Order: sequence, then structure tokens, then C-alpha cells
Amino acid sequence: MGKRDAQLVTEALFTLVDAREAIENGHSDAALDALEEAQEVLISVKHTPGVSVAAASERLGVSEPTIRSWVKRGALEAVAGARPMQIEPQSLHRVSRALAELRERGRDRDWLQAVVDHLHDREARGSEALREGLAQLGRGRLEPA
Amino acid sequence: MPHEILRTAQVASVLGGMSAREKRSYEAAVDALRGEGCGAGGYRLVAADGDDYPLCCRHLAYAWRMFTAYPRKKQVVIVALDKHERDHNPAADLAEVLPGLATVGRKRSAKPPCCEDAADPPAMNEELSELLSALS
Repeated sequence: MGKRDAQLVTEALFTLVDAREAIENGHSDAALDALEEAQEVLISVKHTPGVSVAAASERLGVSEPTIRSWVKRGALEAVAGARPMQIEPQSLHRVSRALAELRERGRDRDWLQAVVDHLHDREARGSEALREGLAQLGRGRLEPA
Repeated sequence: MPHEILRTAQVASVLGGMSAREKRSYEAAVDALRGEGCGAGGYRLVAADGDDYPLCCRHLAYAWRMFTAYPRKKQVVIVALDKHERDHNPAADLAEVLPGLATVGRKRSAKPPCCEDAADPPAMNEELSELLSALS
């Protein structure tokens, strides 16, 4: 990080302290202004558009292969053209919130069991063999067993 | 009066490649379906919205699954035979997120039965009828 960027980060930190004090004193408008200012300062610091797979893994508390698997399945978005892979911060934030809710609900063992049953049945319903058989049933192509 | 048991070409095709042990397991299931109808269908699949899905799944030997439908009273259609891939566990990723998650799923005996009453098999609902129209 260059000297100018380092100064900008320090400036943003001070502004965040201002925001915190404003919240503690019940001045929400001043806090929002300070947060906005800190955001603008930080945006002006040279940075990559996304978050590394390692950082996303740490943030979400799952392994790096799982992060890559979720990108492949569309749960997380990768920054277009970024090599090595980077994760879109907004999608990371969205998934992070969803995981927090899942972890909260996950204390209920009946709910967990329902989730597993749902996943297994979804996998069964999506089976290629079943689709083929259903298509034949739809066409009435049946024979005695 | 025994149930009429029909099967699709998919089932006939898979049977051709089964071992003797696997075939015996299939034949035992067919005999049970003939006598008990949906009572031998295994468990009822759950639809995406959580409601009952009008198909049942019975586990056979060596991770084979038999899917059945009940288009008419006293008639059972074996729709498909499929081998469950043990390596593919749809709950595995979530287990990392939810440490209390048992990825193997509920015991079959604890799943909803294919039907409560053999005289009242799972009806073909609108969802399945639409799926059949789309696929055929």
C-alpha cells in the first residue's frame, strides 16, 4: 500500500471513530454522515473489486472448496474476469446473512432433519432415471412387470 | 385381488444389467407390491413446497431405488429404477455450515409412508400431471 492510500485508510478510521461516538450519543444523522464519508474515502483507496476465496472462506466459516462449489452453483457470484477467482462483495454479504439465519435455525434438530429430508428428496425427484421413466409413463409406454 | 403391476421401458432396460442378487431384490419388491399395493411402496417423496409428492420410493439391494406411481386403484406403475450414488450427498455442503446436520437423512422407517391405507394410494396430482405432459 502506498503512502497516500495509507493516509486515506487512517482518515477513514478516524471517521469511523466519529461515527461510533455519534451513535453512542444518539446522533444517528451525524453517524450516517460519518459512515458515508468513511465509505467514500475507502472507495478511493486502490482496491480489488472482489474478495479472495480465502477471505470469503474465513468470513463464511466454510472451506475454500465449498466457496468454489457455491460459485459454480450460483449461490455466490464471482467477479467477472478476475484471476484468481474473486467473490462479489454484495453476494458474499447476502450469503453471510443467510448463513447466520440458517445457523440460528439450525439449533432446532427437527428443522435440521427436515432440511436433510428435503435435500435428499429433491435429489431423488431430479434423478435422470426418474425423468426418463416419467416421460415413458406420460406417453403410456408401459408393460407388465 | 392382487394389484396389476406395470413398468416403464426404463425399468426393463435397467433390469437387464442387474446382478442376480439385485434382480431378486427387485422381484421381491414386485411381489410385495402385487399383494399390498402402495403399502409396499416404501416412503412418500416430499414435494418442493413440503407437501406430499405423488410418487413413492422403495430402497432395494445395493443402493437401488424403485420409484412407483399409482395412476388407478389396484394398479401400480414402477416408473424407474435408479442407483443412489453414495458419493453424492446433497446435504454434505450444508453439513459444513450446520455442524449438527446428520447428512445421511432420516431413517426410512421415520419417513412418511407411501400410503396410510392400501385402498387409498397416492393420487396423481396436478403437479405430476403437468410434469408428465411436459416430458411426454
